[in-house]
Amino acid sequence: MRRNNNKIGFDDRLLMITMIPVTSLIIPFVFSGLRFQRPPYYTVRVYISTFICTGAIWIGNRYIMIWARSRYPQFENVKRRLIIQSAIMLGFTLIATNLLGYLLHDYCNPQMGKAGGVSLVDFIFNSNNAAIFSTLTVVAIYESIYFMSELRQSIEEKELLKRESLQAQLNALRTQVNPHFLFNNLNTVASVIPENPKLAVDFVQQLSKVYRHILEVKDERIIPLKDELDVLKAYAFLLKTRFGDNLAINIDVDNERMEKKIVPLSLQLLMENAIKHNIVSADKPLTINVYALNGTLVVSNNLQKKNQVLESTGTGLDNIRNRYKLLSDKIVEVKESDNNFTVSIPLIEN
Amino acid sequence: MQVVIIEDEAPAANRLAALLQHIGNEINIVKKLDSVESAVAYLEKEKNIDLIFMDIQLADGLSFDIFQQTTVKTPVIFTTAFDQYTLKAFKVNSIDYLLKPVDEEELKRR
Repeated sequence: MRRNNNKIGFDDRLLMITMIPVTSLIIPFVFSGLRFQRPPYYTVRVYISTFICTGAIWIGNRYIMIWARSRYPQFENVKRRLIIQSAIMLGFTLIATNLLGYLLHDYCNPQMGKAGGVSLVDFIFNSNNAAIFSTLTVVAIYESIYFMSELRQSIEEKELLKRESLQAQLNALRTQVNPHFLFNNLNTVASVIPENPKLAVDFVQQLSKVYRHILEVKDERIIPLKDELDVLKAYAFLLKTRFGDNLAINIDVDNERMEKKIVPLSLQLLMENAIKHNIVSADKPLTINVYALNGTLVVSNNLQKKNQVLESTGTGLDNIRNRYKLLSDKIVEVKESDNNFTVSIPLIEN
Repeated sequence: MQVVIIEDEAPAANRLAALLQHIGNEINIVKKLDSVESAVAYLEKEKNIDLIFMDIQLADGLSFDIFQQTTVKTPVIFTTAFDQYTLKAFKVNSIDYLLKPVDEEELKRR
C-alpha cells in the first residue's frame, strides 16, 4: 500500500472507503432511475450488486493506473501513458461491468417490481453508462491529484538544486576567502614581484578570474565545460606558481566535449581537495590529471595522504554528488586504491 | 648565523631568503626544507643551527609535528598566513611569530 502511494500521488484509502459506498448508493438513482416508492424499486440487493461492481471496477482501474505509471514514469511520456492507460481501462471496465452485470442481473432484478424490473438490455445499457461515466470522473480526480503532486515534487527538486548550488558557491567562497588562501596567494605575489614582474601580473589576473567566476556562477545550475575548465586552468596556475615542481597538473580535454555541461565549481573543488588531503613536497610531488573518459570528466591524483587534515568539512564531495542526483540519473563515481584517488563526474548533454 | 627555512611553497621560501640576505651578510641560509618528514630527518643529524624559520602548514602536515618527532633546541620563528596558531606556537620553543606576507621592516627588528 505504502509503496503504491508514490504512484498514486496521495493516500487514497480514505477516498476509497468513503466514495465506493457513496457512489454505489447514488449510481442506481441516477443511471437506472430506481426509486424507493415506485417500481423499479431500489432494493438492498441492488445496492449490494452496485457496491460489488463499483468496488471491483475502482480497484481494478486503480491497479491499471499504478501499472501504467510504473511503466511510463517520465513526465515526457505522459500523453502516451494516458492513451494506453485509457484504452486498457475502457476495456477492463466494459468487460467487468458486463460480466458482473450478467451474473448479478438475476440476483437483484426480480425484486425491483411487478413488471419484472428492468429488462436485461436496459440493465446492461444502464450499467455500462454508469460504469464509464463514474470511472471517467474518478480517474479525472486521481489524475489531477497526481499531476499536482508531480508538480509540487518538481518544484521542490528545483528548490533543492538551487540550495545545493548556492551551498557550493558558499563553500568555494569560504575556502577562497579563507585567510590562508588569500594571504598565501598575496605572499606568493609579494615574492614573485621582484624576481618576475610579468609573472606577478599574470598571477593577479588569474586570481581575479577565479574570484570573479565564483561570484558569477551563483545562479547557474550547470555551465559549459569550457567555462569551468577556463577557470580551472586559472586556479591551476595559482597552485603551480605556489608549489612549483612539487605539483604537476595536466589538463587534457579535447575540444569536441567543450560544449557539454558540468555543475559549476566542481572541478575546482576536486583539485582543492587533492591539495588539501595530500602531501605536496619535493620528495613526494603530487600529480593531478584532468581528462575526459567516455561520458565523464575524471580528476585523478596519486594518493599520499597527509597525517592530519585541517578545516576539512567533508561536504565538498557530497555537495557535488547531491547536485548530480538532482540533475541527472548518472552518478558521481569515486574510486580509491592504495596509491590513486579518482573521481569521475558525468558530463551532461545539452 | 646559520639559518634554516622550513616552508612548503618555494616562492614564499625564496622571498624570505631574499629578505634575510638583504638584511645582513652575516645571515647564511644553510637549508630549505618543505615537509615535516625531511625537516625531522635534517634536524636529527644537523645540530649546528642558530635559527629556524618555520611555516605552520607544511607539505605533509603541521610543523608542530616536528616537535613531537624530534627535540629541537634551536630557537624558532614561525611564519604563517594566519594567526590561528599563536597559542600553540607558544608551547614550543618559538621566539617570534611573523605573518605573511612578511614585512622587511618587521623582520629586521627581530
